[in-house]
Amino acid sequence: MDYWHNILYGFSVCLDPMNLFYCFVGVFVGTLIGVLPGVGPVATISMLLPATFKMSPVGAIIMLAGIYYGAMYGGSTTSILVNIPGEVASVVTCLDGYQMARKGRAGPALGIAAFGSFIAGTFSVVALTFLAPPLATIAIKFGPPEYFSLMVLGVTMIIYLAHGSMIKALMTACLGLLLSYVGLDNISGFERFTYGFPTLEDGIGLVPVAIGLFGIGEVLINIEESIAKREIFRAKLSNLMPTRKDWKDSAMPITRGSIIGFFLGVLPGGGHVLASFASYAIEKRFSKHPERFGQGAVEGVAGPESANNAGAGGQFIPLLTLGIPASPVMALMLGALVIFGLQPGPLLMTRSPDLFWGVIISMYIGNTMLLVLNLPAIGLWVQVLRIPYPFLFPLILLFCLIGSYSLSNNKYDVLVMVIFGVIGYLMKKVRFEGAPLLLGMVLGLMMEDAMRQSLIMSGGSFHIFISRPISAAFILTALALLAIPIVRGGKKILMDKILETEA
Amino acid sequence: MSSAGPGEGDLSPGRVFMKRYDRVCSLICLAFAGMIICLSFSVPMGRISKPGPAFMPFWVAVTLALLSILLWVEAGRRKESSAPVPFLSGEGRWSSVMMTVGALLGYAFLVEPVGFLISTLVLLLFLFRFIGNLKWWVVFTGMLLVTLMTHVLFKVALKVQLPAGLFRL
Repeated sequence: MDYWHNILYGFSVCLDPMNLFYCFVGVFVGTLIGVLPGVGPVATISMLLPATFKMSPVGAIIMLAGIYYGAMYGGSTTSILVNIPGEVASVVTCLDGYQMARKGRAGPALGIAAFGSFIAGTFSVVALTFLAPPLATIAIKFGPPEYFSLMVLGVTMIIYLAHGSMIKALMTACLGLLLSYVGLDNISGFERFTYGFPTLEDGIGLVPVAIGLFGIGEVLINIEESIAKREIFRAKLSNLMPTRKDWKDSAMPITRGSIIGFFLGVLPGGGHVLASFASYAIEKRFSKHPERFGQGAVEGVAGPESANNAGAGGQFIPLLTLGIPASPVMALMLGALVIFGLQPGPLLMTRSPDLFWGVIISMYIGNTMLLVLNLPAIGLWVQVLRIPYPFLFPLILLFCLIGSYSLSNNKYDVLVMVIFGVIGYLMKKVRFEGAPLLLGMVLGLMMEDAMRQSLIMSGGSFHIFISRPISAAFILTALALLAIPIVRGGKKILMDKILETEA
Repeated sequence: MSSAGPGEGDLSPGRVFMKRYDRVCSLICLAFAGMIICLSFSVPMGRISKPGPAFMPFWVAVTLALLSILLWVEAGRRKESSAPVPFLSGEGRWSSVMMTVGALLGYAFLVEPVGFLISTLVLLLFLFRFIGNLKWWVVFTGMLLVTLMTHVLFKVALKVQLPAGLFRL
């Protein structure tokens, strides 16, 4: 099958009325949760996962994917109008987006964010369409050592990108790995760390942990900090169309953001958050007037918003071609695929072409729907922002409870969710991030299996990880990423000592 | 007056510095790692050419223990420059956090015997009124509407199995 045949096949799958409906529901819910601060795509996908069990696998994944990239669009609205990022990737959009709104330019800011997101989102889907098949062909040649090294790189990347302390991120990833080992060992069937509780034999569920860390934990923080006090931009949104000058200023940031975002999204552990930050830094560096950044520069909105949408598309590549999740959201997608009896990886394209091409092509349609939802229907989202938090949080908690319980109709899942909700709250307080824990938890068993198989293959020699070129490249990159902050830290200590001596 | 430096003396809620928290976290993680290391000895370790089920957990726990020690040392050396971390203090609302957690735990244990509809009504009443401080008419309208809508959406439309409970509702 050639590309065009595949693309047409994908369209035939996703133009099915039910799949179109699921796509719309996905992008609508995605925009909604993107707009609402405190509910991210991880918690939402976790909550809605059990509701997809009665759907077709293609429809379910189309909807879940829609939630993810829809959230990227919605996140910018809150950043621009309320100065609170609706989604982590929209943090940098607050810097210039809110300043534009304060200067009476909220409309063009929202407009350029939506157009930039659409252009970048479409670019990433085109790139995904053409890059995924050759990558899947290469991935077939991967053995356990390559998989292990790639997963090490993925975990390292997410640690490297941690906002705070790298030691804390490493510790959180280790905790995630350890949590994944609870239950029956995949290879020997031996029971590990279950303390005799039959409910732990199947391990600790990813979904209750994700809902707890990212849903309940966030709500508890908001309850304590009284988010009800947020100030909402009240001026009338009259003109959403950016001016000719805005377009001229934004053309290159959108182009650069699309490219940077996509390639950072492809990297395991990279993703849309890094993409938006990298884009902002690059635009500031490229600008002839960097002093305008932070004062309402349209480039500061166009670049990062394009980058985070392109990154969201790029993240599907490692999942669909290698079966490795690049982020917590992709980990949940992986979980969903496995629940539906599908094994993501290089063979997905040939074994389930309807899902592979249907999901990719649904993103073209979803991006178009999002443009309509985020421009003419912007008024709706502004109204959503005005829902008082005391009314909103019980709803979020109820959806968390239903999502967690209905996963296997087991109250222990709810208990696990509440426990991890408290842990998530405490982790936020002491600045430990949840993402490395969740990714560690997902990759833990896969990494363990790959490592044990590799060692059996090599007769116990770790040399196998560096004697195979692809594996060696992944390991060396991971080591370099870990070394960078150490070298930087050492340099800083040295400079401080020199300055102290000079003083 | 306390002469202790930042993070060393004042432990009243909302006045604790990050380095103190980091040290507490490092101890908790160290204890957890120690527990896993001990438990690993009760599971076959295997040998390097054929690693057993305890191999990875053991070495990951050792790594966690080393990182915990590193965090302890790093926190001790750090010059604290940032503001104290508010903890269980946000405008006196920490009691709301506790009550919310209690309500969720209560829901977890009651949802099966009592059923989805009744336990959800009670939960929403509690959250809307006692945590959200909404007016009574909003509380009653909200709890009835939300319970009904979630029941229709999940149980009727999406065919999600929700517990019927005592009254088979």
